[in-house]
Amino acid sequence: MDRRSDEAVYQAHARELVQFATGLVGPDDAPDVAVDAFVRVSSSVVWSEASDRRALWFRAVVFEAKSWHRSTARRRARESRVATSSNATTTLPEYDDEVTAALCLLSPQQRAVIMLTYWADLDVRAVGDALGVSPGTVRKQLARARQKLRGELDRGRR
Amino acid sequence: MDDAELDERLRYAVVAMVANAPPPRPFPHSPAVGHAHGLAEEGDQIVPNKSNRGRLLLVGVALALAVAGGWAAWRVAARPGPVDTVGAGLVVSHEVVAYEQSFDLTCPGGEVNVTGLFDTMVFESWASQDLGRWRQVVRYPDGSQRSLVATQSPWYPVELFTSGELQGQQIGCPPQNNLLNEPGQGSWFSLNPMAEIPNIPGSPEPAVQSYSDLGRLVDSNAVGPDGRPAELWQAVVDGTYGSESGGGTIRQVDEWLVDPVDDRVLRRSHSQDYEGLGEVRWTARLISSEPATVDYGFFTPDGLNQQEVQVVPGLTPNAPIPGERPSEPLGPAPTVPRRSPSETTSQSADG
Repeated sequence: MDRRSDEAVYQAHARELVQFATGLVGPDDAPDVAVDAFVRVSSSVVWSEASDRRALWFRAVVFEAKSWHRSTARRRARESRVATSSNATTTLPEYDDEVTAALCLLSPQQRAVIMLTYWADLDVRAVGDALGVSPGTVRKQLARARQKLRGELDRGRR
Repeated sequence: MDDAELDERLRYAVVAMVANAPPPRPFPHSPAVGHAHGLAEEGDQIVPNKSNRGRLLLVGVALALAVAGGWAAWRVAARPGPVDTVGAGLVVSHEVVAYEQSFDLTCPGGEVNVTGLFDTMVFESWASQDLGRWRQVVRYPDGSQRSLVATQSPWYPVELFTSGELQGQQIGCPPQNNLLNEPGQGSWFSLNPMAEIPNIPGSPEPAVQSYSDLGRLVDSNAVGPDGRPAELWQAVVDGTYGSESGGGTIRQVDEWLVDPVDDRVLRRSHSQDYEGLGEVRWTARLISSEPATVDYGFFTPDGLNQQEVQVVPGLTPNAPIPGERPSEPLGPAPTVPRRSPSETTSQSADG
């Protein structure tokens, strides 16, 4: 592994990858998820040959976030945070709490699609490139995520 | 809520969320152990802090002894089989699925026709998203197994290698001799996609349709096999079956229990109710789906037989990976797809 070039990639993109991970697993675990994903992907066999290491890192963060969600202990902690997030105005002062709570109900892959669409402002093809999936898959996941969010938010109004 | 309002609230929420993001961790100088665990940087070298060198030496000796002991134990208990070489190096998706099938048939001509041996089996699968490698082992109750290695796509592979025989039961009521079979019939079978399956080049349709393409959500408050909340999706298809000597209506019901958090299919059941004959059904249950680390040669098809496949135009073999033996060329590439998308979806992996 070329440590200096890896460090350059890390320094260039760490901030945005932590921001991205924050949308997937929340701020508490985002730095760990981002760095764990980097360690994992930069030691993989595809890293040295990759033309777009940033995209690989994005995918690795989604992969890592999925593992994070599957951990029972973390799942409980996350559900506990979701349960209290509607009253958590002291820790999340600028959030639209209702939307934030609804976002927590999405799968990591759906949330990744939402983040890249609404935060990074990428179109369907670019989201697919970043996540290594087809545009059709992105459209489907985006539609399902929006449907789920709309359902949750409408339910909150009733 | 209209689309514009949803978009605006989503945009606001994610931007606010990102604004709250903490700073990143420092660059991880060593993938295995960071500075906080007792390492320091000296020029280009990563070395232990002085206070930790003695401790690390002891840990190193203990680890070496443990590895040597483990290796010796492995040598003693070395089991045959192509999948026992899991080592370190490559992180892949890994899924284990328990499958069982049953029937409740009354055949007009007499006995139910049962060929094959087993009505239960375990599918263990590995897939590498980035390398386009797929491997599956089907284990039968008597300890026998069959294996499959595919490159690029599990459904219309560029290269396909197999070993072992189908041992699952085939159920029939003569003259309907093919009412229930081992899933996949020698092709890939998994509950979840595990890695992106490439579309057929030029086709706008997804190569493999998922539970959400095929079914509809019927219960968002269902209970999964492990007792946790799950979504229940269902697809019902009515049709007819028959031949010159008889037939009737058939109702096919697929049900998927899906983890609402990560979209994993936790269980799929499939039943076919034949008018006048009865029902056949199968269930596939997810046992585990955690990533696994395998060695670089894990997808090498040693001991497997290369099968002739009809390569979909536009799909090309992935480059060999370090430690993997390059496979023999297949000769001139045929041009007819091995499966059409509709054929693929009818017995596809879900997810």
